[in-house]
Amino acid sequence: MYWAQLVVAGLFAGAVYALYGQGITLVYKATRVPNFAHGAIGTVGAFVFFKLWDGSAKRLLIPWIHFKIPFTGVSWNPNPPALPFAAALAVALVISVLLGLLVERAAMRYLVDAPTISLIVATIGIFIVITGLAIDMFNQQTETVPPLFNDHVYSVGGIRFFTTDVIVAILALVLAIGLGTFFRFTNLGIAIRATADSRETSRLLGISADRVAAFAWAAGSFLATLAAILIIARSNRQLDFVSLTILIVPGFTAAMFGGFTSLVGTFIGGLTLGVAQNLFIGVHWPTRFLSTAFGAAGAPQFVSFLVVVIVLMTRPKFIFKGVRVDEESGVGLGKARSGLAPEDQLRRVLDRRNTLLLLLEDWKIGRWLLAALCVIPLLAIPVFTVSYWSTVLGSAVFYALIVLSIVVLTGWTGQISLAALGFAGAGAFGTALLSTQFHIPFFLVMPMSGLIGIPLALLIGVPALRLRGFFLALATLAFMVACETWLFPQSFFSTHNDVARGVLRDDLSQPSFYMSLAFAALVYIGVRNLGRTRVARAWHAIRDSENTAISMGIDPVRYKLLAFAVSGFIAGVAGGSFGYLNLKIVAANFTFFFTLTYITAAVISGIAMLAAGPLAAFNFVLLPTITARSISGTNEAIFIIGGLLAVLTVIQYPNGLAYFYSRVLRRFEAGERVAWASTTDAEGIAPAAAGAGTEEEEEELFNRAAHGDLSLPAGVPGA
Amino acid sequence: MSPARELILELDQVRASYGAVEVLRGVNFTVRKGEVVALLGTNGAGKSTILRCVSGLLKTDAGEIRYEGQNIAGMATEDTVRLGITQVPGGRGLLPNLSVEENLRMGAYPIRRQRAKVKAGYDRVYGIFPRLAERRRQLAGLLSGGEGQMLAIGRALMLEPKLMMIDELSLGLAPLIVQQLVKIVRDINASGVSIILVEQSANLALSITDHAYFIEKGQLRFDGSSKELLERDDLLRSVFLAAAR
Amino acid sequence: MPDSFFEIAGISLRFGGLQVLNDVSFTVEQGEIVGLIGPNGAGKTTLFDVVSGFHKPAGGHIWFKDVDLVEERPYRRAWLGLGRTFQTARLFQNETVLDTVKTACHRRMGGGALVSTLRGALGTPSSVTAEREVEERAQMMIARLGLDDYSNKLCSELSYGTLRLTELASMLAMEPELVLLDEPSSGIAQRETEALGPLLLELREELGATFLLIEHDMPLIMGISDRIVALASGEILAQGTPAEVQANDQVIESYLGGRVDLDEVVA
Repeated sequence: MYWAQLVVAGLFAGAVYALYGQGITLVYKATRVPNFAHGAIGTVGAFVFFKLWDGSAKRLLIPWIHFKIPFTGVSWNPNPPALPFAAALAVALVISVLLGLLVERAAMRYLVDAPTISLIVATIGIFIVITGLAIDMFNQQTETVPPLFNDHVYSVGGIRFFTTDVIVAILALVLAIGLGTFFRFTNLGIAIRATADSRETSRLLGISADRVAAFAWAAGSFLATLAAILIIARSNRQLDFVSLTILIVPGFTAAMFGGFTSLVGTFIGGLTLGVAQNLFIGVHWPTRFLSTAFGAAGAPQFVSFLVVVIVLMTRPKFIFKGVRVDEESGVGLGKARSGLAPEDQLRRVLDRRNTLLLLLEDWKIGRWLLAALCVIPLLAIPVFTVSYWSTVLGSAVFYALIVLSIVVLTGWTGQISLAALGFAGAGAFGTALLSTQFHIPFFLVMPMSGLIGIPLALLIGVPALRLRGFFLALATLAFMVACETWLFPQSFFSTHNDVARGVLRDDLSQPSFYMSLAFAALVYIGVRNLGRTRVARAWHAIRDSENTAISMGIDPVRYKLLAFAVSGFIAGVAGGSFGYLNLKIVAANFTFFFTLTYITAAVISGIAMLAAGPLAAFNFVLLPTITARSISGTNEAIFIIGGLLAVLTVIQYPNGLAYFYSRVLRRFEAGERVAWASTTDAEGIAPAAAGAGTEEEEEELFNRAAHGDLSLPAGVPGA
Repeated sequence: MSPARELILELDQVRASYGAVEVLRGVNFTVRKGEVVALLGTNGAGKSTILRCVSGLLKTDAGEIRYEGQNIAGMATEDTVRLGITQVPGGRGLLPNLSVEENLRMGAYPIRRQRAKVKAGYDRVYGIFPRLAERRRQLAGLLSGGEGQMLAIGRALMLEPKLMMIDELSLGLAPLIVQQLVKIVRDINASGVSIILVEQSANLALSITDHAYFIEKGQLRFDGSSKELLERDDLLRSVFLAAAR
Repeated sequence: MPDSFFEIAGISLRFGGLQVLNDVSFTVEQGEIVGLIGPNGAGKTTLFDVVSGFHKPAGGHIWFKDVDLVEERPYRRAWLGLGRTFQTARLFQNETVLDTVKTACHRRMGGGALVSTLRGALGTPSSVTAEREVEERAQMMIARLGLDDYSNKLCSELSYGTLRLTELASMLAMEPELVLLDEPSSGIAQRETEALGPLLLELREELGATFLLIEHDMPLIMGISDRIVALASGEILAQGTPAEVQANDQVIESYLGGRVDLDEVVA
């Protein structure tokens, strides 16, 4: 009976995952986009519904809707009309469908052939924008909504469940079957499957991929709202913007069971996951250690992680039949396009005004000036002002290091990892333990916290060897959520979350920032050094083409693990600096949501460049703090702007800001100025176009190579 | 085959590239109404790219593609299909996870609302290829090579095209099946459809076409009446095997 | 134990129900240029992939300097002296020409991955010296192929011909004993192709390497190869001097196809 109850409860919990996962499957199937914004779109729909529905409107804490035009301070608080259930639902569904169409039209359409990381970051950006805007618009507080249905408790053979449970389960099943039928028998459904099979062949048959995508986003958003309303009603009836985001991992896991193509598979996958989680929690573990470890609150997330890793590693045939598995790393940077890139346009303008030459000539001095300009306030501010700035700058150091660790692992090595804060959390808790229990001085703790990050990074690095692109992202995301909800809240960690700041120097009130900065600078220099060696080149090679790398003698296993280790070390040091910045460390500091914002910050700043670290810290920590007052029209300004920037970046300029700056200020290349001069009026011709421009030049190049007198100099073997 | 017959397709100095790789370097050729034309050349010469440009899968860099007098360069694939240009993609280009009938149904996607026409399409295709009717519920991915090619051709027929482009008719197929397919291609042509045939096997292509174009490195090298070219065995060998003329 | 420098002995490979390679055997002697020809789908690139280790053969051995490559991990094969280019010039899109050629020097630099990382991060003199040497070497190879003007260009910015030259510069830098070239002329224009033949011959002289190449440009491959191996449907049709292979009836048929007698068919 005990087990039966667990299984039934698991099935009902799993139905929620299935419901959530079906929309994800639909969008992925038609467009290859892993939709991180799924929950956010659904939550918007749920808010609209509950604000309008006459059954709940009067009982909400804030019955009105708070329209605020972001960044202006202009606002308007209308009272929404109270509508009957069906009308409210219809309005909510229509709005979410429009939202889905908007997302497809305004953003995703431009990312059809984009690398996986762009798709991930774009949907994360959309997720952040929608959440930010909606929090501003609806409310800042969590509200409790009344039950949707008169919940009866049923008891069948001693197994208890509620009306809402049954409705969720039935709806999930009906959707699975209904959508399955749709995909089998309607022209549009078959066209979506055709597009999933081969985009190109489908186009040859006259199927518009854009329309298929638009439909998928509309339908996916429809499902998202339906799921959100029911999930909110079924769980604790809390209407807020965070509770649904945590379903990302189980939702994706359910979809994974369907191979991201089968809706019935998604349904079964959701149920399987729910049951697995419940059984795992229900087990009476033999020793006390195990029972506290596996019985902890976050155990379901731990199970999700296990399930994701096991399924992705073994890839059972019955699931992964006809599933696209990424062949390449999925990390691509912007390709040279025909026509002038933005940086070239800027260069050209600067060049025409003769400022570029000046800039470039003085750039050596300019660099030092700029560096001094940055460093002096960094060193001076905490001394002359209150400790508030020290905290801000300390956070900036943390931010820069986290982005740096993402740059090494994702930007350089092409391993899309969403677990940076997991490594950092390990470093932070390690710092707390080392400083309070063992009273180890600061300057030893910092490198040690870096070392603590390494094993955790390798833990996910080993399964990562077999995964690429989105599947790797999914595994690391599950890992991150397991860290956040299961590992860090363990009693072992929570008893060691004080940081003995005083161990460093008792007489200084703000010691940590300077020291953190110094350590961060050391790490930065170390990584920069590393970036000039064959190790970094091997990483880049693996990112750009693993097979070519192998054919040049690079061992992908060794170098991928190495990248995880280095990235874990950097993040661990970041965690250490975080430890010294905060007297108490809690799991809530290291959430997967923050990890997602770091990834977007890294991409905006230039994911393949080290300068992205400091740049991201400046743009996303210092700048918002300095300008906080001037854009106070909204509370979520920084998130909204960040999200919009992320979408804009991946569409327009996937190389990011740091790359832009470095390209503007690069040395002149052969033929560049000449090419400009000759195409003064002809816009759109790339400078020094693509190596040799004409066939004649190209032929000349080959002839020179073939008959050149440039024989190999003596001393080179083979000469 | 009087030269007076009007053109259905005309390529005029078409250039196209994949990223930095220029594949077509100014291609000219013409197809007359009711004609079967072969595009020959070695691997990577740009034959399939020409088809991709005509169907609109690949944007051209320069030049004009005139179809029935209208410049269709840069037109979306959905629209070229509606104009009556269909393609039998190379490497079969089936939709492997769709059944045979679903593949055919997708072939009629632009006219999906004209139920009667779609129905007539099924009947026509099943009439030509009774084998497909037997296997209509089977997944296309499980068909044999010959059946797959039949399905690809059948699917292209669903729309009653005016111009059909076949990318690799005989690749990987047994000679007997190729003979059957050749007959069907001739029949399709006899019903008034103009055909462009991209083919590895020069002898095969020359025996069933009216006119042939040799493409090399993205440019037209020479063209001529298929019958005359077929007599010039030495020429073919020099082109394909660089054997002494 | 084989007597030859490089020997493919009875390699077979199946994909699903398809026999892609069927008992393929041939040898390559040191210093030779051997051309591999065959119509589309003959299995040439697949054979290269087996030699590189991207596919595991169902049976057979690949002897290279008395080592069975089939038993070696793919990246180890480069350390044994095997070089390889790809049909679509798969170089590192986001790297400069210089860095690409430096990457190709990977196996020439000593030290394990971990040691290199520590040394590199600390910027030890040994690491700095090693990097400087690699840089010089790479510059030399780039100069050799006349690519000086492009050494700071990203590979994604290069024209295809330049990319091919970069590939060859990488080969020079890798200094392999056996080079597999997969369609070096694909994607480049006619006149460049004509210049490619002498260049390859020159490189062989300088490298002292053995070449095995796939090529569809017949004048090129027939002009530079010492021997030709013709493949069709995963099996060897013929091998011998270019003239012999060109005259082989089976090879001719595999390229030109059998004739179809229309009257008979249509009737």
